[in-house]
Amino acid sequence: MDLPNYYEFFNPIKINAGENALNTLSYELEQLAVEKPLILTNQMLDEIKILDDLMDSLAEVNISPEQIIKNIPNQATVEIVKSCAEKYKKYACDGIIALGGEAIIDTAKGINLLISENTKDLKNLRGIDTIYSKMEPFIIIPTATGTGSEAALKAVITDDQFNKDLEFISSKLMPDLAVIDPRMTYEMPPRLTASTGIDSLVHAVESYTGLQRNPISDAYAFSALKLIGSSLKPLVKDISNKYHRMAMNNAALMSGIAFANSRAGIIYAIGDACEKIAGVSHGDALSILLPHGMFHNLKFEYCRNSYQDILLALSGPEKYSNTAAKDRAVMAVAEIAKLLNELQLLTAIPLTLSEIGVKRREFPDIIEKAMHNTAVLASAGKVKREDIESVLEAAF
Amino acid sequence: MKYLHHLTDKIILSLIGRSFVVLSSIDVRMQRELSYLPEKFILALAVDHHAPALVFKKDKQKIKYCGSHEDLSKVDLKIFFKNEEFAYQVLAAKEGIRLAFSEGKILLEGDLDFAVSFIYILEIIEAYLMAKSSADDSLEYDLDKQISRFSLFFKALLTKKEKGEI
Repeated sequence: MDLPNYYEFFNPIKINAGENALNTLSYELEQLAVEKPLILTNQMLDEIKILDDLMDSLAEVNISPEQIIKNIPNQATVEIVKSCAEKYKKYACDGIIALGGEAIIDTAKGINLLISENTKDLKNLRGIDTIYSKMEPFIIIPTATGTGSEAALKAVITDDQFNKDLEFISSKLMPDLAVIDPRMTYEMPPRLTASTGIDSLVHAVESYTGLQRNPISDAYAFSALKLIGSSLKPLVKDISNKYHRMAMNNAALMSGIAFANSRAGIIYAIGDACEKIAGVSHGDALSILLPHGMFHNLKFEYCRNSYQDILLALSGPEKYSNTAAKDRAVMAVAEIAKLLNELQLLTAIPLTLSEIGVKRREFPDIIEKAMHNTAVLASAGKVKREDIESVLEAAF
Repeated sequence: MKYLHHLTDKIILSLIGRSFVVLSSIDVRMQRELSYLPEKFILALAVDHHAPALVFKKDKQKIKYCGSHEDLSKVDLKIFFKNEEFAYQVLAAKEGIRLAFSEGKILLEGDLDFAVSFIYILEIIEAYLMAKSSADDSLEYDLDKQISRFSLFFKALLTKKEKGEI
């Protein structure tokens, strides 16, 4: 690999992963000197008894009902963050536990921002590295692996009043502890398992080809790709398989760490724009765009070199050695397209943007949005509007 | 050497500020980026977090150069470098601004999408100001220039800053 002239890598998160990892929670709260955590989750996780598993693991900790907020919506908003922060203060909480997916995790990050920075207006903190205070103890228990939010240094919180997403990027948004317990994700159906698995795949691929890739992020991305190559399809076929579930949980975490430290690229930028402009699922858009974005990147030599490694990680040494060196990059893209087709047969994941409802007339807005995503700055080459348009056309 | 870099940063920043005003009414790519920013939007650019910043204001699709300011309470977006040496690398066109951003050498206070717009604008200004070989090497930007470098320098030198508060 090419060693960058300069890079930064940061991952202070303690990770407790594996069977019954949740049982370590009381001990970890003691270590973090947390006696009164505020617990955030949603109604669905309460109904399917995931919250009960968490409460069982906290049997030794005195948790009153007002410390549990069960109605976090599917989108982190300024209003919900403010009301939760008020409860945090009112009940004199001293730490935050986020049990759930991206929206719950981003809400928790927003609460931590308001409390730690002692401000009433989140808007003042948007940007990169704008946080200077010591943060409150923060634990994440992800239930929808794939997003890598548990390792992300980013939070997106919607300001409904101004119809604007506030974005915050800071290493201080990372939690003190991430608990990856397979019990938390057993209930994910095949379609969601496939979709979140591809999300992790996109994170690993993009972090392996971004401008800020470095030896450490590469190590995380490569390991994640190996796990995805060996476990994603078997898990979709047998969603109760504990080994493959845990493998994909680890892959999501590792690709999330790699992604947080090497930034994203053109695939993420366009996927994010499709979600914001056309209102389609982020995971679906990413899975559709992945092979087309990779195909676009084939014109850059350093991406072709990276894709050779991706072939090795995803498809194993036999496939790698049986493929001529000059063909390995193209073969990596073909292998990913094949994996997506197989997952489509198993779970009916979409393969074109038109299938999920993106309209061609929305392309100009999607292109503008993608061009103004920071991810595009870290992509190979100097991405132009016509590059994004050609990827969109190919994926349509 | 450090003092020399400090001086270079100041001169180039000032030149960038004035060139921004000139190019905002000439270059169509810059006008497209400007149209992405809200009216009356105030931008600031500094070599590090604590240094005074050059301030620009969008007014009727044009840019007004407000000079160097320390009070940035009214600024919508502030972009600054992690340290002055990183700023020198970019301002002296030894490193592309896009790469510097990806490497975490550039920080910002404000909306990220507007910051990306500002980074495109700075790229265009640098491509105009630098010799073609420097621009090709560090900026990788094959720009069809709509005004010569000499004319831009001349017009930039004649550009006055807006008086009063921002």
